[in-house]
Amino acid sequence: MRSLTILIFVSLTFFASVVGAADISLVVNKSNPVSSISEQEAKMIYLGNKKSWDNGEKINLYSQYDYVLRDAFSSKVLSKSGQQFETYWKKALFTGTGRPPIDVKDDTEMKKFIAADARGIGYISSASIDDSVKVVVIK
Amino acid sequence: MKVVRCLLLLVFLSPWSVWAFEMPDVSVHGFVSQGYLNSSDNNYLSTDSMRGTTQFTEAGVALSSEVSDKLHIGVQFLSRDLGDVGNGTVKLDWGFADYSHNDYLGIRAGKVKLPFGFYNEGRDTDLLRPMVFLPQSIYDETRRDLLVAYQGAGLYGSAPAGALGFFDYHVYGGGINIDDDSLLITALKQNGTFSTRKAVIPTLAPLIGLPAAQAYAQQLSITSLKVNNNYIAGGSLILNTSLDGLRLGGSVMRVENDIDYVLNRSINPTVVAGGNPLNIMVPTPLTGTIDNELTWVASLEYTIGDFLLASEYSETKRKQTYNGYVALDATSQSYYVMGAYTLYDRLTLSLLYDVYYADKSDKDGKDFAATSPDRKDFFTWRKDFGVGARYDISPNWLIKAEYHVVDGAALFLTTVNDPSKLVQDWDYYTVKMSFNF
Repeated sequence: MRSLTILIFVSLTFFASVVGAADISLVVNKSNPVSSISEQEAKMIYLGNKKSWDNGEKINLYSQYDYVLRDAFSSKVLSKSGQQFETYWKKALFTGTGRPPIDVKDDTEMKKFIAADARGIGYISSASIDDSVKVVVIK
Repeated sequence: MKVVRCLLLLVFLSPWSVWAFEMPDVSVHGFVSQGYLNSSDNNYLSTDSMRGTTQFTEAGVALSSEVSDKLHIGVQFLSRDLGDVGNGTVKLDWGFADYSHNDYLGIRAGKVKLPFGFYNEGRDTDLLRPMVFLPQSIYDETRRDLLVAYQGAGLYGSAPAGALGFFDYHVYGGGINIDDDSLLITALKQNGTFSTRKAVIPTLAPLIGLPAAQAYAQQLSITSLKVNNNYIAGGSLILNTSLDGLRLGGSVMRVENDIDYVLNRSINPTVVAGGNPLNIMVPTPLTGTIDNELTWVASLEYTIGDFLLASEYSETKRKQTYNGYVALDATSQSYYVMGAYTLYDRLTLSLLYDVYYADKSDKDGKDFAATSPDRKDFFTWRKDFGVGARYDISPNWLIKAEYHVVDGAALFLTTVNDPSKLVQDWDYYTVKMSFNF
């Protein structure tokens, strides 16, 4: 019974992460001319290696407290677990080499921040997309 | 310890104890960790570890501010206590201005964490790694002062590398500080005393005879020693490959230091032969050098889902002279393999195999042991097999425990033990709890 419970839990976790990974979108401010970026660019942006947009403006990174969405995003885009993503930015913080993304509460708050920040980039579940933000396609 | 307690009080009693806080332009974050270290047969990093020691504490506070889009400044104060080292004194860990011209080029000036291997920059922050100790063959605690940070300037940047992925680089030059209470200083005194005794016998023997020269040499010892760094220079290149989760890296470094030291008595043959105690028992200032002529590290890290595999290989060509006598001219060899698997984002289990040879051309230690009956062959190697567990209680709290079985007594075990009582096969375990905000 215990093994079956563990199996079901692991399967559900895996299933949830796969579904989550498929349902996440990168979003930017509607005034941002960027409409698509490569996988590598997305990775460089969220690991702090690409710090500015093509027009030279600084990129403001946003992430979410919601660990399910954050895990799905970091797994899909960065090939890192949520914990690895968090540790990566804590290392930057405690060595002075970077500032972690600004954490927001949920999709609604993310859209509010991105709509107000012309240099921002964040992620939300695709079901939450509306015309307050612009989706950036990962090529 | 008083300073550590004050920092702990500051952290735990303040209203910021749960979250970091953001003032208008300054972010403040910090961490505290407290460990317990216990070893069998040999003391390790502390003269008390065989009895078990809680003198294993770190606390840091980092402040940073973005002055403009391209310029940010930051500073971290760190208090450490590890056996007789640190004793809770608060020191500047890093502090620099960082100007990012573009993604390809930025400059950091000030005191900057040294980019050496994949993990050196985060060596003082427990929460950044799966195990309590980084692999000691490369990230040796006793050589921390040589490796922790440079004071100078460095260029850094990132750039796409086409189908290979993208790379990060960091080249630097400057100086380092070596604290008087570091285990490195103790080790240099030991090695310098041994070498001076050996060097002085041939010059005294013709005047006072071999037995008297040997007896006199045994009374010599270095009473104080100071390291004056001339420069440190190096760089690192990391390729984040297009194969998801695979990072490859290489680092090089060169360090040159002069040493000023004082012997407890004269080594002038004429003075010693004169036999006047008033002339003989005069402290004698001398000089020497301690250089890492070239250190290089090749690094590999592969992350697949919750599994992490890390391996690094390093060599260091070292040279030490005391009053012109070459006490050391050898290349050390270090390598390790570590695997870590994280279950449910909270529990991480780790395995480590870590090997160090002080002289890669004398791996069995026979040449070293032949220099003196007091020196054993196993002083020249260290093979560490470790298992560990880390549990992340919350994003702010974590606890780790690990157990290591060690063969050999290299990496300055002589500094916290009576060398004549060192044991070849020994073990240690440690438990450590950390909090960050």
